[in-house]
Amino acid sequence: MSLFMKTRSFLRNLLLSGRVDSDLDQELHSHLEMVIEQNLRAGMSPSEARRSAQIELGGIEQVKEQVRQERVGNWLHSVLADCRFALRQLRKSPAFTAVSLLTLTVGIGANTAIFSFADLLLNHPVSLPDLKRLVYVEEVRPGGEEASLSPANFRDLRAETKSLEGFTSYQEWVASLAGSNGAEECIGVRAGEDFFGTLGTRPILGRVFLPGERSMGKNHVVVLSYAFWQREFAADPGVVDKTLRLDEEKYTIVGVMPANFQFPPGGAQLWTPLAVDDANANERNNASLAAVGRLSATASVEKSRAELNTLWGQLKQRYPEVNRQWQLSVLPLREHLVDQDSRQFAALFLCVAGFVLLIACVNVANLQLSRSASRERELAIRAAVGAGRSRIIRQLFTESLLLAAVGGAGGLLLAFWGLSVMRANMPAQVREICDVSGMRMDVRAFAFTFFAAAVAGLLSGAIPAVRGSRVNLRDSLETGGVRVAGGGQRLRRAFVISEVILAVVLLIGAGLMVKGFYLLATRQTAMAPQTLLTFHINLSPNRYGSPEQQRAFYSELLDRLRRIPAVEAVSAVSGLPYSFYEKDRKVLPEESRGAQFSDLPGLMEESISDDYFRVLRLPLFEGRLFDRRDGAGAPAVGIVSESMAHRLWPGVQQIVGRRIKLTESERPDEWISIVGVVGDIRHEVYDRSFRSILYLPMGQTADASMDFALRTSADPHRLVASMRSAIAELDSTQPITRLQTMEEKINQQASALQFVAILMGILGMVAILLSSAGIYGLIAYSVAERRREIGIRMALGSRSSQVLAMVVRLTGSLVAVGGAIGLVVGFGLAQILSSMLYGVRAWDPAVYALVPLVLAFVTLLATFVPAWKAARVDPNIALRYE
Amino acid sequence: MKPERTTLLQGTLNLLILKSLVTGELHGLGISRRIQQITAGTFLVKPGSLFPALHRMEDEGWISAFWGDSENNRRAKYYRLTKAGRKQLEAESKRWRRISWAIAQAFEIA
Repeated sequence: MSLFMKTRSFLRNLLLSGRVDSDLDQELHSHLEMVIEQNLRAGMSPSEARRSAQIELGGIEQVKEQVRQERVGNWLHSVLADCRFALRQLRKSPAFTAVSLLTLTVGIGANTAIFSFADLLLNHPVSLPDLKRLVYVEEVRPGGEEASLSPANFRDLRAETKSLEGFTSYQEWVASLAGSNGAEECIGVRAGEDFFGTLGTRPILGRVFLPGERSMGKNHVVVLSYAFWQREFAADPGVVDKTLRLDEEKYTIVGVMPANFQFPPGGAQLWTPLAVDDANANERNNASLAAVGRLSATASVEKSRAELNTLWGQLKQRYPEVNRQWQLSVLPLREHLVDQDSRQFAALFLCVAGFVLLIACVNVANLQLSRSASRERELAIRAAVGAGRSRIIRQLFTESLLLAAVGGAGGLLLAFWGLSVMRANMPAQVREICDVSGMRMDVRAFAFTFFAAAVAGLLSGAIPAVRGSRVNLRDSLETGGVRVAGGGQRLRRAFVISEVILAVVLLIGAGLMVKGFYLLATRQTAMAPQTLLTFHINLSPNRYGSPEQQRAFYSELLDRLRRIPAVEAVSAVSGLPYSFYEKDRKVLPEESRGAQFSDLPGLMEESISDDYFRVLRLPLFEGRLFDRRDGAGAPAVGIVSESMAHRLWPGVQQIVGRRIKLTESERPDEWISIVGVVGDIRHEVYDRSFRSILYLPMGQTADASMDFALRTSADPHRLVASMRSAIAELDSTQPITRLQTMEEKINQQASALQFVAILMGILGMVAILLSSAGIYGLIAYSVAERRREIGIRMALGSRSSQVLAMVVRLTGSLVAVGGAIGLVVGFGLAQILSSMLYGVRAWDPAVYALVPLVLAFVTLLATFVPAWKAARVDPNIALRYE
Repeated sequence: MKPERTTLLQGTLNLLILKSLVTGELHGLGISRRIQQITAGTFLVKPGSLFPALHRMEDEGWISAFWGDSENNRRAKYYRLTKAGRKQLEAESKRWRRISWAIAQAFEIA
């Protein structure tokens, strides 16, 4: 009953609030009239009767306010009233509202978008169900060298483990796919036992592999990726049972995977069963399998790590000669996939986003503070008609929260838009390291936005609310809201200074990123990358099995390419710069015979044809280049890069004639004589220093896959047709890939960095814009506040220019203090940044010269309008203003 | 002196209002006169306390309001007890008697 009544009253008070209110008004008026009549009857004069009645009642409005607070549902009612009132207030000062909303929208929007991106980099390298229960298992040497698992070790672990409910292995595989217009390369994966089951995915069409299909001879079945199915078969639903020719062999299609399945990341196009022959199954030396396990329901990563390490200890005892030096590493798959660079950049983005949001909050708080000072009179009136202290605080909070909510909604829209723009422009390189299709405003990003919005609102609401509630009624009403600049000024100045600090730090960061990218784009001028045409050839082991066959193919191809008109020089190399090539070897110089293997210096081995240094335009510092002498039967020779020479023989003048041995080489016991020293070359965009490179003649080493580079005198793209026909004449089934100019190669590799630089640049601009809005707000407000003072000064003979100078001085001192602190803080943070980017120094004169200039310019712009207004104050009007 | 009176009223105002309505419907001024009368002039209920209390009790459903004509033919808002109000009055009188008996005991022993 009581609950029913309460609900009814609640609804009535809420829905019929207008009628309830006018009812109350009538009731109180009739009460007043009755008291007056009573007083008249008691013999008072009419005016006395009214006065006495009014004193007794104590003010109709106050009583009404007291009644309203007693009503059921008053809280909601007053919240709505607060909102309505807040809306009206915000509409009344459109400039304030617009700047606040813009600030919040941009701050929250940028923040959310960046947060989503960082979250993607960190947490969603790949979209697999229950990713956090997948672990990556590999062998690691104490020095940190990593390798996958050998087939026999994997088999033994898999048989014994109880902490993993699924444990599978795979190998990446570059296959040549026969098509209607020649052969092309595609990225395949050889999938071990229960590969798809362990990863927790199912085909959308057909089936995955049967256990029997893992034996040799039965393994010619293939599952397609969604993208490959779309491209090669136009999403034909009847694709199952059709066939493909891969590496010259026929494969039957059995299934198609869903669009979001992409494992291992990096563009796998098809999967075939990993067939194990008997010889391979017992291989313990060659760690050729990548291994992923799914934790069983009761196991944690730690438990599983402990269990697998116990098993590994047993394997070590049983096979000491191969396993002695290796340890087992068990990592969450996510950690394995997210590399150091991604982590650093994600952290950088999060910092930057936080900065932007901080600036936004400070800005809104600043605006609110300025406004509340000018609203003291209004607040005083509200207090006078019976609004309690808590009521006024709530009102001010409502205004800030309303702003934050609208700003947050705007921010959300902006973030949606920003994310779709980012998704559309995401460079391929970023797509490879994370699942971009998985980038969306996930629940956490939403939560983060609203959290950010609420904090922004409360932060910006708190200070004015606390200050505003301390209004001294009489003072405020008497001075009519125009006061001499007071305590709030100091806080607002502190705000502006901190905003300038934040913006300067961000600008320095953005400047260094942009500079770093600029350096990348322009550094390789000596190599003239725009006239280098490059492509990649991977010889199929079925047809070019022996090193001799491979060498014969490559030298014949080089001869044919050299004959193409407009080709100046041509060369083959095992890995061109900017092609993510790695081939790490340990080197033993003759001088340090007897050193431990783990102490040996590492280097990168490159196998090259004779003209390589001419084609890439690398200078020869000492000795000679390779030539016809350095064939298969001749003594082993090598050429070292400058930085390798410095590392192996520091301070030594004569490098030529020294001898080294290589680990894992074809001829491990043979001494290699150094015949030359060449200049360094930057090999990858992300390298932080020059690599130590040992070049070996192609005649003495073999590689099934090679990069080719053609130095041309014409536009490289016009040579493509003749180059293709030269290859087709030699072997029409041989695919070529990565056909592009060196310039395109560099740009492609730098694209992720370019993306980062652009993002940072945009955020830097946002920061400086927001800060300038803050500066403008402060100056405009203090000019309005000091209108009277300025009027007096002018009446006493100040000139416009002096008033102008006064305003500019105020801004100038704030910005100078903030800028100076910002430069110092920024320099500190730049140290971290410079360790992330090769070639960027923390102390970059251009950046440190430019940032103060930008700051000064923006400050001038923000100050100009209010200062100009101040200088035009007419003393007559200003003094009459009151 | 003032705060003392309000604290005393806080606990008893509901009870007094309910009690004043037992004999029939009254408007706000009437209620305050009646309370003055039945407490022998001890309590003078100010409009600032009376009207919030009336509206709160109306929301609770203990009294209901309607517009009627006053003794001088003036439109006035009248309040009357509801069923729930009578129940409430009973409960509150019981509680009050218990309290006043207890307090009286306390003073007698001392």
